Amino acid sequence: MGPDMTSYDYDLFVIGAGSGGVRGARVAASMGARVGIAEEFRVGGTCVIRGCVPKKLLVYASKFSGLIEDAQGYGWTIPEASFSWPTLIANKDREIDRLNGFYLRNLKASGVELFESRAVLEDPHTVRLEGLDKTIRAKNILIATGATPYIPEIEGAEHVITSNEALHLAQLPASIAIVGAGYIALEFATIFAGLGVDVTIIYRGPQILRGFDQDIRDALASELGKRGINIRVNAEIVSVAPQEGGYAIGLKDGSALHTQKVMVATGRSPNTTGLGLGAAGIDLGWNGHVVVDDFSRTSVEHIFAVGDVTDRVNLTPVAIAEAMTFCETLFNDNPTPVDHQFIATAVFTEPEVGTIGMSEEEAREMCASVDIYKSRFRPMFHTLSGRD
Amino acid sequence: MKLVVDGDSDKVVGCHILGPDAAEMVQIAAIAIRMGATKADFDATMALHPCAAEELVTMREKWTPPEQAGQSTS
Repeated sequence: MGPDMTSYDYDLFVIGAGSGGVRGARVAASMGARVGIAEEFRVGGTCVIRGCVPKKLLVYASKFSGLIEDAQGYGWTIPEASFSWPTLIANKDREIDRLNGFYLRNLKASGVELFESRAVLEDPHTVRLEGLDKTIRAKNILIATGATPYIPEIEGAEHVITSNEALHLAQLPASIAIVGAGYIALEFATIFAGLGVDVTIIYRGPQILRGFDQDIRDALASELGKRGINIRVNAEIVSVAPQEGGYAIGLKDGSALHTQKVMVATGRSPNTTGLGLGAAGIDLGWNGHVVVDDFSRTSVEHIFAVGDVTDRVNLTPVAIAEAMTFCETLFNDNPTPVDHQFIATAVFTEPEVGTIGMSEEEAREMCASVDIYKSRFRPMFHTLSGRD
Repeated sequence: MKLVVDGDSDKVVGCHILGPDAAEMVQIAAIAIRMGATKADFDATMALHPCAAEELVTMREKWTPPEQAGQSTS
């Protein structure tokens, strides 16, 4: 890889072994680069360890309560069903362990050297592996450290949980208040409500699922309401205080509510703190994200970043696509931008949302003329189940 | 289920689905939309009956915003 071959330990060093980092490392290695990767938590990243995958497994679990009821309309008599949260969590964890092992084996098989350690930049080419008391020199660096739940500055913030902890609760609570109304908040609301928990959504905006098409937002709010989820919009949380059997939540309008658990899902912050990015001269954006160009290059020529840490479109397949185009750009001498247009995405609520492209509101701003086609229908499945 | 169409080019620029299997449906629709499929292309596609996704190719009537209803001259 050029004349510097001998003065660097690696052609590429990747910080963060999530979806983007692992893909970048493996593809670079397959193109002949000497690659190292560091991970301080678990290989697999948010998607596999505490995001998409465990979340969807819990969503599946939450559907059975409705399905068991629906079955009656189809002639089934089901004796009283019971549910064990510890069994679900143990089975989910076993599957996550399996995927984690799969990622570890794939990394090894591709010839990437893994360091299970936090990695910090000392200068633009030097990475310190904190847990291992070791420094390495890299010709190129890929930052793929992801993001972490943002906890708002409220009184009693130390009492709240985030999606990270919600995936590992020892017991299912009787009630939970979820602060926020983005896809993470609503998916966990669906999970908990389906498992019989009394759920309240607290959101400061006028309607849930900001940024999505207005018709979808309104219809989903109505559907979630039918499933027993209490949605409080235009409501701003100011405090959380321990109270017998749970917590008292104080709202800005002076009202209060009691709940057994409080979860916040009010956005995610890029993991850029304490990584030595300043020492390397890397520019950060308003949200602390790594600023990159269309080719995922940072303000430093040989340092790139992909995935949630860049706060572009924070989705696993996007991080993977960014990692692939990064490899093509750097190791195949073929500068390739990432195409962030027309990305399909879903919200795994009950019912589910699938969306791609412009909302009606966006289209009315972008296009001179807009035609809208709408269809509302009752899913055939519910003609006999009797569910609305 | 909702399709957003650019009135000038007839291209489908947005597709939004709320209901069972919405994610599965949108992933497939994404291919057509990214390729620049028009509403006419959707309409010319034969429906698969009975399924929920067939609604995507059988939406014939343009929706009129309430404030415009009644002023329509055509």
